[in-house]
Amino acid sequence: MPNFDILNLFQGIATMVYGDPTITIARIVLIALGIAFVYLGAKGTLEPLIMIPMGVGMASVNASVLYLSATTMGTIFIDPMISDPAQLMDVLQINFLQPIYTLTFSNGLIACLVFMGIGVITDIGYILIAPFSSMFIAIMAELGTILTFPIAVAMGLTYKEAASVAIIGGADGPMVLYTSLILAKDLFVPITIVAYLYLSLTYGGYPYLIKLLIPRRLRGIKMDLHNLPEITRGEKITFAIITCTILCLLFPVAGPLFMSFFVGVIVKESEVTHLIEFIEGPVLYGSTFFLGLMLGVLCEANTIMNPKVLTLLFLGMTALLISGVGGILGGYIMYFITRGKYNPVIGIAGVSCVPTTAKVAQKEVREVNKQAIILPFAMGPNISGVITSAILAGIYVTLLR
Amino acid sequence: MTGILGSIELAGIVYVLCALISFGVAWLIKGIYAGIRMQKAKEVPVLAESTGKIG
Repeated sequence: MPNFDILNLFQGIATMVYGDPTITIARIVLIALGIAFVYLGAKGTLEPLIMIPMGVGMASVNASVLYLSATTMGTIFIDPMISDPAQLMDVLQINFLQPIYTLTFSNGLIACLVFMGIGVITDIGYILIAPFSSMFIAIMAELGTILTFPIAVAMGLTYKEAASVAIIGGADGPMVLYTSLILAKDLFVPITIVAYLYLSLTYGGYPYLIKLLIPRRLRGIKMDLHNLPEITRGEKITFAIITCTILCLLFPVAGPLFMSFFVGVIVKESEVTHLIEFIEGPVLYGSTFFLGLMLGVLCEANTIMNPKVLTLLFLGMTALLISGVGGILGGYIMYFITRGKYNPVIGIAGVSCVPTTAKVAQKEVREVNKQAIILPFAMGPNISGVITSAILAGIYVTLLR
Repeated sequence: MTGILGSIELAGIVYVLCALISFGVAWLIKGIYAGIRMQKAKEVPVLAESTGKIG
């Protein structure tokens, strides 16, 4: 019988035993984290659409490290660092997720597809009902995006990296992906992972922020639903096409994102059933699934072990926290302007995690007052938040590129 | 613009720009909305008039 090392048979274990101990520990932690994400996603504590594929990807990729040659270790999932075209051609034929990564992820296409889906499920009529108050709250809820920028610079990040991580405050995953791809390509993997991780946590964290900052008495304020004007399809389509064109004129660099969002909106309002079903089904869920899977697979210990990750974790949390506080502050200002007729909880919906934060706001209000319906009013700032986030991303990218 | 002071300055400029453009979009929305409503209001008497004539 030939003499062989049993560990060579099980290379996932062999690479753990013979590899760098720091990387081995990181791999074990990431496998455990991946399993935890799947559990929490399936339980509904974290956003399941992203967290389940992400957790599976994370656990699998960190377990699947093997010897690619006598001296190098790696996986046959993905190589995000490849840039040489000849090497890329080789890798495309070996790594099974490389074609999806290269052709949809690293060029921002997947962000645009998700945005198209968000457009199709968004009713922009809510902004047309109260454009100024919606925009005001959305601007207030961008405080995190603004204040995190100098904090990140103070913590040693470059302007481009700081802007990329500050965009997390806008709570728009595709926007973070897009900005970091253009401004901080070296950090876009950890920044995007941090962003999506926190975005799924907003669902669990913001209710506590609301309870902490808004007394029960104010959370139960009923909004007047009787005087809501009816917005026609024509009005929505006119608004969408004009706004899209103007925003593209102002910020051509964010043009793909604007186009993707508004084409979704226009398809929805045009009632083209086949296209609506296609975009809100296969396109949105397909791209969300692959986005989650890709993010998980990118969490390979060697890729993610960047010394800046801890800084990014802190800054991401800071950005979303300040944005949440800013949104609630905006809600309070509206409450005082309208002399107590505006429910300040709506402010949290300015953080544009469509439609999560609007749903969180409605849920919190319902807990206090069963008859209070604020969702139509919360959707206005929520959608405005998408527009302000895109504007901010456009400004940062234009100024710092 | 460099350093922390530069970043604060830049953040301020970005925020003001964002606010101006966002309110510009809000103003645009109001304008479109008012324009369409005005157009509809103009159309109603013409329709009423022609219906009257047929009657």
